[in-house]
Amino acid sequence: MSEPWYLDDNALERELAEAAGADLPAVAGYTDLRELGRGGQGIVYTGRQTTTGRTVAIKLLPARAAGARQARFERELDLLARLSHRNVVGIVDSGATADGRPFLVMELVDGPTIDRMPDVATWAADRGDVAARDRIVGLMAQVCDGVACAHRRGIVHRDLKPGNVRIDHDGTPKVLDFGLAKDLGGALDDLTLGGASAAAVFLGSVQWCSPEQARGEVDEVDSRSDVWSLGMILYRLLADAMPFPPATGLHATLAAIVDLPATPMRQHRRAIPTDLETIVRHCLEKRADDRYQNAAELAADLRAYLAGEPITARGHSTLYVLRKTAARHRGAVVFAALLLVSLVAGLWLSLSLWRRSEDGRQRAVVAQRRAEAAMDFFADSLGAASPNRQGPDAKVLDLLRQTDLGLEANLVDDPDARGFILARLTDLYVGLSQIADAERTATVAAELTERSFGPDSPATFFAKANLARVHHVQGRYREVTAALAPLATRACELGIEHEPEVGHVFIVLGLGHLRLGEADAAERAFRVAEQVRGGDLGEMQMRAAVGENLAAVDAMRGDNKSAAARMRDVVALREAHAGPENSSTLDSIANLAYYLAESGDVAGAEGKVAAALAIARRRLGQRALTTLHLLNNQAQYLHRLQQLDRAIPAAEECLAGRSAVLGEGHPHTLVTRNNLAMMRLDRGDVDGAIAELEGIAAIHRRAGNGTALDFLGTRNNIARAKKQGGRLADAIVDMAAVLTDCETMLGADHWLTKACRATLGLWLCTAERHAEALPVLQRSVTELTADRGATHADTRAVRTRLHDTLRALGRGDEIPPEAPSAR
Amino acid sequence: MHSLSTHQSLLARLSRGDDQAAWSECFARYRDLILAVARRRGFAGADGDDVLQDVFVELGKALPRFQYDRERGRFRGFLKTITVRMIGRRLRQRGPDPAAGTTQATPEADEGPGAPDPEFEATWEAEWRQYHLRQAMATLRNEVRASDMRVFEDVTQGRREPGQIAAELGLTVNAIHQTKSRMLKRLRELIAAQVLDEG
Repeated sequence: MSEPWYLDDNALERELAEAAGADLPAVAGYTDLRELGRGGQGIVYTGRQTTTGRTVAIKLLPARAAGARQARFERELDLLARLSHRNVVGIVDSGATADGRPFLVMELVDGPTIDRMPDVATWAADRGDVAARDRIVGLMAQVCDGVACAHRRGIVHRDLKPGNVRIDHDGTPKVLDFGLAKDLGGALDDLTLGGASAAAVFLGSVQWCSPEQARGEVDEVDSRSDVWSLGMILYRLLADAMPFPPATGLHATLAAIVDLPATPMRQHRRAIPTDLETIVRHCLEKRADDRYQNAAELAADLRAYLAGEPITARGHSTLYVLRKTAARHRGAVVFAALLLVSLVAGLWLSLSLWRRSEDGRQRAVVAQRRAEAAMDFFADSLGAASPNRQGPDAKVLDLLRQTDLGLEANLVDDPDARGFILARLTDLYVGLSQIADAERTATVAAELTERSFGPDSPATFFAKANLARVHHVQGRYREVTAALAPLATRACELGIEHEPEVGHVFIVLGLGHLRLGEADAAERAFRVAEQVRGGDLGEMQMRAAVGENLAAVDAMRGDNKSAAARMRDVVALREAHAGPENSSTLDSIANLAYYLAESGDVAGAEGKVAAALAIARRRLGQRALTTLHLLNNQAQYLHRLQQLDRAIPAAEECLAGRSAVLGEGHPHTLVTRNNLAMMRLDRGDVDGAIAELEGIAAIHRRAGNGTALDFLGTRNNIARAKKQGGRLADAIVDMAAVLTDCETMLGADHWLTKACRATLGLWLCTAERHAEALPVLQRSVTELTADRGATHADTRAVRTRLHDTLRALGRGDEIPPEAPSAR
Repeated sequence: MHSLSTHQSLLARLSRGDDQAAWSECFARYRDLILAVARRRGFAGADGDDVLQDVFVELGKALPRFQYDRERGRFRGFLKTITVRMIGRRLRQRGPDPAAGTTQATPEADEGPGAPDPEFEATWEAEWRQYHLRQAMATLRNEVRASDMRVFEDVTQGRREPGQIAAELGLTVNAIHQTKSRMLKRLRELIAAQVLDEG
C-alpha cells in the first residue's frame, strides 16, 4: 500500500489548496473570507473589513437555516449588541448577505482557547507552580466578570465551556458564542427543532452543562447554570481532569451530572488550596439554590482567594453534599463496606444515641444524620475503592486513605462533622493496625475540636480521650494517665463526668491505670464511666466496655472466675447488639477465653478462641489487631495444653504479624515474643529462650515506655528459664532481685510480687536452702490463702513445700494438724 | 468545534441508538462530506439536503446494529455504502415518477450497493480527504494563534506569496517557511491521529 496522502507534503498541500476553493459566501463589506470553524449555530469565517482593514470574525448561518435557528441567531445579535465588556467578545457589525442569510461580525480574538493557554499546561505539568495556578484563577475571575456583565442584563450564556473562552493577544480572556444565550427578559423561544436537521443543533456541549440543563428543565436555567459551567471550567483547568468519571453516551454523561458527586479536586491534584476547592465545590452544587447566585459572586470569591481573604463559600455546610454524595450507593455496598460498617457501628451508634437522649430530639436528628452521612460516606468510598490489591485489608486501607483525602476536601467547614468522622477514621485505623494514621487523625480531631468548641466542651473531652486511646494502643500508658487524669478532675469540677463523651475519658484513663498495674485507680475510673447514662443502645455499649474493664480489674486482683463471669455477660451483650461477627464481640470472646484459661478451663478457652479466630481471619483479615490477639491467645492455650507442635507455629505467625503491624518494641509484640520464648523453653531450647527474653528485657529497659509490669514479668520469665535450664542458683538470684524490684515498683500487694514470692520460696526449698525459704513460704501461704483460698491448687502446693521446709528444719511440730498431708 | 469525543466513542454512543447528542455530533462531522459527495453526483442545494437526510435516517436505522471492531476503514466503508445507496435511490426516483419521490424515509427492500462505480470511488476518496483536512484544521485553529493560521492558509492556499506576507508582517521569508513547515507537521500528526482513531 502506498504512503497515506497526509504524509506526503505535496499531496497535503494539494488538499489544502483544494479546500481554499470551497464555496465561500460573499459578505458585502468584507473580503478575504476563510472558514474558522463551524458548529450547530453557524459557520464562522475570518474576513477583512474593507473600510477599516481590520480582521474580524464573521458568523453566518448555514444555507438552509431553519426558522428557530434563525430566530436564535437574531436574538444573539440583539444580545451581543447590548453587551459591552472587555471580557465579552465585542460586536462590530451585522447584516444579511445578498441571498438573505444573516451574519454577525465580531472582533476576532487572536489567541488560544483558555484550556490551551501556556499557564494551564505549566500548572498541569508542575504541581509546584502555584503562580501559574493563581494566574489561571485570575483569568477565570475576568471570565466571570464578562459573564457577570451578561447576568446583570438578564442574559444567561448557557453554553460556557473552555472552547468558548479565548485569550486575546494581550492576554485578556473573552467569552465567545452567546449564540445559545437565553434572554430572561424576553419570551422563551422554542428550542426544539423538527426534522432531521434537529440533529445538527448540538445544544451546548453536554459535559459542561448544569444538572438543570441535563434534566432538560429549560425553565430552570438561569445565571446559576452559568455558575455551574464556570465551576466545571475551573475544575478542568485546575485539576486537569473532569469532576465526574468519564461516561460513554449522552445518558450516562447527563446522569453523572445530575446524580454523581464531584470528585474532590484534591484527589487529582494535592496542591489545590482548600479555599479553591471550596469555591469550585460551591459552583458544583447540584441544587442551583446552593450555588453562587451569579457570576459576580463567584468572581468576588475568586478574587478573595487570590488576595488571601476569607471566601464567602466558607461556612457553607458540606454535610448536605456529603449526604447527597453517599445517598446514591446505598444499594451497592460491597463486602468491604459491610466490614467497615461493623467496625464503626459500635462507636457511632452509641455516640449518636447518647446524644439523642442527652440533648433531646432535635439534636438526636442532627447526630443521626451526621452518623448516617459518615457511614454513607465510608460505604461510598468503599464502593469506589479499587479491588485489585492483595487481600481485604489492603483494599480497606486504600479506600480509607481515599476517604481521608475526601475529608480534607469535604469537611473543612464543619468542625463538628469533621471531628466526628475523624474519630470514626481513628477507630478504623486502630482496627486495621494503622497506628500512625490513627494518631494523625486523632491529633487533628483533638486540635480541631478544642479550637472549635473550647477546652471544656464534652466533644473536646471525647476527642482528647480518643487520642489518648491511640497512645494506649501504642503502649504509651504513662502519657495516657498523665493526659487524662487532669481531664477527669476537670470533668468532675464541671460536673460533666457522667456525660457520654466524657465517659470515654474515664474508660481510657482506667485502661491506662490497668496497664500500669494500678487496680484501684483503674476501678475508680471505670466506676465513674459506669454511671454514664444515655440512650438504650449507647448505654449497652458503655455497659459492655465497663464490664470488660472491670473484669480486667478482677483478673488483676487474681479473681479470674469473677472476670470470666463478667465477660460472659459482656459477650452476650455484644452479640445481641453488635452481632456475633463484630470485631468488638470477637475481642470480648478473646477476653472471656483468657479468664476461662486463667481459672483453669484451658481447653474451653482454646475452643472459644479457635472459633473466633476463624471468623476474624475471614472478616477482618490476617493481620487485623483482633486476629493477631486471638492468634496470640490460641498459641498460649495450646502451649498450656502441651500442644507445642501447634502452639509454636501459631506464636510465630502472630509474632511476625505483630512485628510488622505494631513494630518490634510494641508491648503486644513483646508479649508474643515472650510467649514464644517460653514455648521454646518447654521444647528444651533453654539458651535460645533466655537469649530471646534478654532481648525483650533490653527493649523494655531501652525504650523506657514499657511498663514496670512488663519489664518485671520478663525478668521473672528469665529466672524461670534459667531454673528450667538447670541453673537453679542463678535463677534464685534473679528471682530474688525481681521480687525486691516488684515490691519497690509494684508494691507488696501486686499479684506479680506475690507470684514471685511464691516462686522464690518454692525454688529455695528445692535448693534445700530451707532457712531462707521458710519466711518466704510462710508469707506466701498467708497471701495465697487470703487471695485464692486455702484449697486453691497454688495455695496447697506452696503450703506443702512450707511443711516440707518446716520438717527439714526440724520444726514439723509447727505444722497445723488439720492441714492436708503432703503428697 | 466538535471535538467532544473521539470517533470511536462517538460510534459506540451512536450504536446505542438513543444518544441525541451523539447524533448531533455525527451530523456535524459528516454533513459536509455527504453534501460534497452528493453535489458531485448532481444533487446540489435542497436536493443535497434530501440526500443528507436520507443518509442520516438510514444511518439511524443501521447503526444500532453496527458492531465496531477496529477493522480499518470499516465505518468509512459503511458510510460510503449507505451514501451510494441513497444517491442511487434518489437517482432512480428522479427517473420515472419524480412526483412520487418523497423525502419520507419509509423502509423498503434495498437493492444493495450494486456494481462499484469507479467515478464514485474517486469522488468519495477526495471528499474523505477533505473531510479529514477540515477536522484537522479545526483542531489546529484551536491550538495556534489566528495570525499564524492565517499565514499558513495564505501560503498553502496560494493566496499570497511568502515574500509578500513576510513584508507585511515584518518577518523574514524563512520565518514564514518555518511557520508553514511547523504547521504542516502538526496537521499531519492530527490527520494521522484521526485516521488511527477512525479505525
